[in-house]
Amino acid sequence: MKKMRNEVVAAINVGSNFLRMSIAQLNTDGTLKILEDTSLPNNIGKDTYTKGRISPKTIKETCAGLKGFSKLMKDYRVKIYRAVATSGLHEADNRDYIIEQIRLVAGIDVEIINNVQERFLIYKALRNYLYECNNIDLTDSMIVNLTSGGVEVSMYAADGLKFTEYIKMGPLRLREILSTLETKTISFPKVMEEYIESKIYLLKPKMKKMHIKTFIGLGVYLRTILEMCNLENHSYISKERLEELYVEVREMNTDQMVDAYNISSANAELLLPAVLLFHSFLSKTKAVGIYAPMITNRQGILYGLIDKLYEIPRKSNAENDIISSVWYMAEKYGVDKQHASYVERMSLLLFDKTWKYHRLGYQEKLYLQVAAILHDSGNYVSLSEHGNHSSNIIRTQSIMGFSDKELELIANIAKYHTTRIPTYSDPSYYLLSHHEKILVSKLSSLLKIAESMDISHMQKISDIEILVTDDALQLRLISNKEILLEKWDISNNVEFFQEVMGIRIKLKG
Amino acid sequence: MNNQPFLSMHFINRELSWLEFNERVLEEAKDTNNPLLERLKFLSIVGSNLDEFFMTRVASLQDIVEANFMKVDPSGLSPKEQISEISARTHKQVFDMYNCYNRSLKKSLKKENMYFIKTKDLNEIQLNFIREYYVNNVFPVLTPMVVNKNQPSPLILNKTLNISLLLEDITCPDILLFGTIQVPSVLNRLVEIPSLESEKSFLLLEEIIKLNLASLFDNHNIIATGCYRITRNAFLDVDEDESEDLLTAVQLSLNQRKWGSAIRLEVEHGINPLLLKILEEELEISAAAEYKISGPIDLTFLMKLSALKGYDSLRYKPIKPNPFTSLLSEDDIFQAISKQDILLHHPYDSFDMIVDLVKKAAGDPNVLAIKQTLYRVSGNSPIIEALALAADNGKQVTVLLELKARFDEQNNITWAKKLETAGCHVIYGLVGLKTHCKILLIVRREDGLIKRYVHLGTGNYNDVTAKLYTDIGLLTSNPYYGADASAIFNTLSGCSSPSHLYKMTLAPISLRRKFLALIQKETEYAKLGKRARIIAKLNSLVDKEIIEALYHASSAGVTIDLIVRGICCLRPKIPSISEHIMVKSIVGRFLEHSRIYYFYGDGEELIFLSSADLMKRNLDRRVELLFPVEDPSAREKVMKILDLALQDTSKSRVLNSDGTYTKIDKRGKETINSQELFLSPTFGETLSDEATHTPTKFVPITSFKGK
Repeated sequence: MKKMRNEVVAAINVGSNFLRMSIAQLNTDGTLKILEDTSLPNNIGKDTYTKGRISPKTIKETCAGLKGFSKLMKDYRVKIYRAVATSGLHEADNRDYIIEQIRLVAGIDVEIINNVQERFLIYKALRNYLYECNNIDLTDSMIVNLTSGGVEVSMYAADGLKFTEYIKMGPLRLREILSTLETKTISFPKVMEEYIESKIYLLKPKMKKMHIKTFIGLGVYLRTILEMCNLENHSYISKERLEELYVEVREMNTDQMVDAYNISSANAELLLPAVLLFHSFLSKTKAVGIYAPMITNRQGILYGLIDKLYEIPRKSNAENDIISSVWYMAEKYGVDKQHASYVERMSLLLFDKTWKYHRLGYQEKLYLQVAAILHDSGNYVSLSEHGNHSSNIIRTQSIMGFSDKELELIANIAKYHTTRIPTYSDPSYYLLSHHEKILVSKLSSLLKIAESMDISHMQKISDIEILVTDDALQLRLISNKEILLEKWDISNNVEFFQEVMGIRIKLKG
Repeated sequence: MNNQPFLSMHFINRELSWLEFNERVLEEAKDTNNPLLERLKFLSIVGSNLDEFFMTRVASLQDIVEANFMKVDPSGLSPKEQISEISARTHKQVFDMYNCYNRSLKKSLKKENMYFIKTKDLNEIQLNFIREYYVNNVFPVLTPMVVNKNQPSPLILNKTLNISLLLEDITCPDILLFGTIQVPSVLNRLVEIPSLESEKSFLLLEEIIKLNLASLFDNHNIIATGCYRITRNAFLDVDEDESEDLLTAVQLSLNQRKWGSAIRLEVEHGINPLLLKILEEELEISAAAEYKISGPIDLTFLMKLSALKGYDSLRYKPIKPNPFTSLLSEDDIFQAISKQDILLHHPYDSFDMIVDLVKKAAGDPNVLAIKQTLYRVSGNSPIIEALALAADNGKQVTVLLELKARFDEQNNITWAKKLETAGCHVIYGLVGLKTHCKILLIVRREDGLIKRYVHLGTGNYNDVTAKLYTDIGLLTSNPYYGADASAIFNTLSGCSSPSHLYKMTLAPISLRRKFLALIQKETEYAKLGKRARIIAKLNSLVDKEIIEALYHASSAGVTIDLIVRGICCLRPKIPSISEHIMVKSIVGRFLEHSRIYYFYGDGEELIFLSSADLMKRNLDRRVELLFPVEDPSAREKVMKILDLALQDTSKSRVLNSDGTYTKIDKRGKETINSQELFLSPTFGETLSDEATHTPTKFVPITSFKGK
């Protein structure tokens, strides 16, 4: 453990309708004490969801707001922080200029994350929350995270995360999309509800199949909903109470909501879609209420910062979520489970045993693992060129915890699991940076060997031993079966391995 | 019961109530039990109070009249009616002021061998001195002006004393001319002239000028002279208590009008009628706004006289603020605060503690940041020095300086510049809101952990007024208060939208709602037949909604005791409306300034302190704070303050249902002067002892009548 004590760190979220910051002191036991929680409204989401770009006025306000945050960080001499921007900025065409202006004006480096990374942060915080209150079990549960731009639904079975889907249907986005309809009908809530139902149509069969018993709601809207139900200090709202609220707000316009619930009109506008969304999802499950742990992505950032500082092995849970959801995907694409699992195991084994030659880290190992599980998913599309198809599938899937860049790397690794090797004529490889090219090549050279070891899909090689000599790695394949085909296929991949790693593989036994 | 409409007769007009307050200050000037020089001060304050009252309140009413805005106040008076009632009441008050000056104060001064000499009684030596003084000091700064019929009239400055003259041209005696001279305000109004050793003799500057007028106007005969003074509409802004539409209406009319019209004219008694007529015409002023003064116009010079060297026997004994024992025994002020909350009652407890705290923080290597609101700071503020030093020492210093503090703008700007130069982050108030809350936050790192110290007060961070005003401050390291303080500063500095607060309530966001809810809760207890009680100590009670809530509470049976120093628009003792409400006012040596709000709360006993009075502007147009007192010994101290204030018989006046105030009938009762008692050195000591021995249980006074 590193000797850093009681560091004060900050987490900033440049969100779609709020700039938020948490400053917290990390305790050595891994818990954290929030010192400041600030929020400032902004129009990033409004601008992006309507015009696709952020207006100069909003940019100026954002910079000014973040400058204030930066000042507040100085009050606590914060040196370690992480600032992320979510969908509002992520989807803006002029996002790069804004990031640069923020850097110049406020001195804050903002990192744009996709909704999958955001989910990763939130689940990180959620895991900590669940750890602290033992009464919630994720088995047969559904997590609905409502952000301004979208709603993300995840479902857990007894053996982990099964499935996550992101629908671009957050309250702010709904408001902006449907704004022209509002003046055309007096039953606007009904129109909005129909729209919502049409969007979640595809999820319905899955929800039916899974028998959801626990419903966890995330996102700031839930706080307003709790306040409106006079449940400010609670973290649970029953199905009946939500139903009552739903019936009430369905009949109200914004002004009436402002009066009835004593909320700002900005809040009221977004509240109707929020209530409709939660109601719609909850009614399709067997849960009797919504748990509202009030988790923010900033908490996830903060926990992430602690983990880094103190090297706390808290990762495992989040990784289990990733791997579990990757397996769910693999199943969806009809992957040969035994083969994929074998290749996964062997790749990781090779990774560990050859570490001296590639010296890659923990995160990269995870890329390899994901690539190994999904390397054959392309067969679902076509048996020819299945490497390319696998790669395309990976690229377009949202896998929790990975940025767009990381998905691109994994897609490349998986693509080269056959004897085909990366070349500059392949655009997806060509576009990678030097460093990334090396990474992809190293990991795919390992994946190739693992794949060759089960080229027959019969898992004939039960184990391997690697002996390091001066000029070569001696690879001893342990098997009581005929493995001629495997040996031949491995030998086809040995040369590439040697090129990349700088050491020869000698087959033995 | 709750929907009972209240009639205009249930409210007292705020301006008339204010005049009653000024009357109480005048009573202190009249009170021969007060030391003589202090009485002079009181009379001077009555005068300067009236000046400010005319420049702001009356001017504002005048604006409303001129904007033709028909708006009746809660007591049912139109602006015109208010002005006329104010005029009638003020004329009476001014008459009383000069009665007090001429018949009582001058005589008492004589007894102490201090004289205001009449010019006819001057002896040769004195006349020589005056001549000399005039030639060397006065003449060079005089600017006499003669006005011709077809010339524009000269600008007569607000609040300056002037001498008007009726002149006759020697060459053509038929033509009468009007002349005017400003009595220079750069010179002392009060001039001491040579006299016997044991005596002091004074002459006012205008008398000296009058003696030498002949030299100023060649070729003119002076037919008549007379002093006069005008008060102008100085505050080119309608009071913040008024509504938006009114503000707009008045602003429109202001744009069409010339600047600062005359609101009041004071003239020397017996002034030549022709001179008076000229003044009336020049200033376009009505007879109701004229005041004939039997004595020197503008009595604020008495403040100078009261500051005369020596004569300490004619003043209050200097105060010896209680140094806070628990702080003194502690080496480290931060440790002392960490042990328990510290409640300071100024001026009885020294304000130096707060100044020291900021100074300590400025030099303490563990302190990371200091944040403070400043409303009115003193002329040579040690707090500002300390904050500047802190910034020098590399601390993050944030200061919210309210530039809009009335009459204080220039002073504040000077300090703001100084702070900025030192590297402080200065915020100049908020758009559309005056920042009136008094809060200090110190962020410190102790053994690696962040800890926050907070001071919250009812009065400004002003070391000078802290010796004259009674105020309460709370020092605490309670983490909830710290979190709230941070959140409030984030809101004030624009770093965050207002967020959820644990303990405090902030105006204009939710303070009104909070007060109404607290009163409502008490009303409900009373309706259930439970004991219910509200005690509040404040400066002004004006807000209609709050008053109505208090009426409802009283009708439901809540016993309500209000200690309102200044304006009170609530009319007490109206059968079945306010019969359970007692209102009293304490006006004495120190200006009562602390705001305390107590609710019995079915035994929970909620005690709050606040920067806010119960006025519309405090609740809707200012940033104000309400915070609870939770520490047992601090609570006990606050209750003791309320208790003693309620028991006070010496400087208390009780408000009658007709809007007048009467002193408490002391027959058969002990004379209790709460301010004197707080001042006694043993008061704080016994309290802190008691507090430690009997931590939580205490019994509030149940009825004022029983005392």
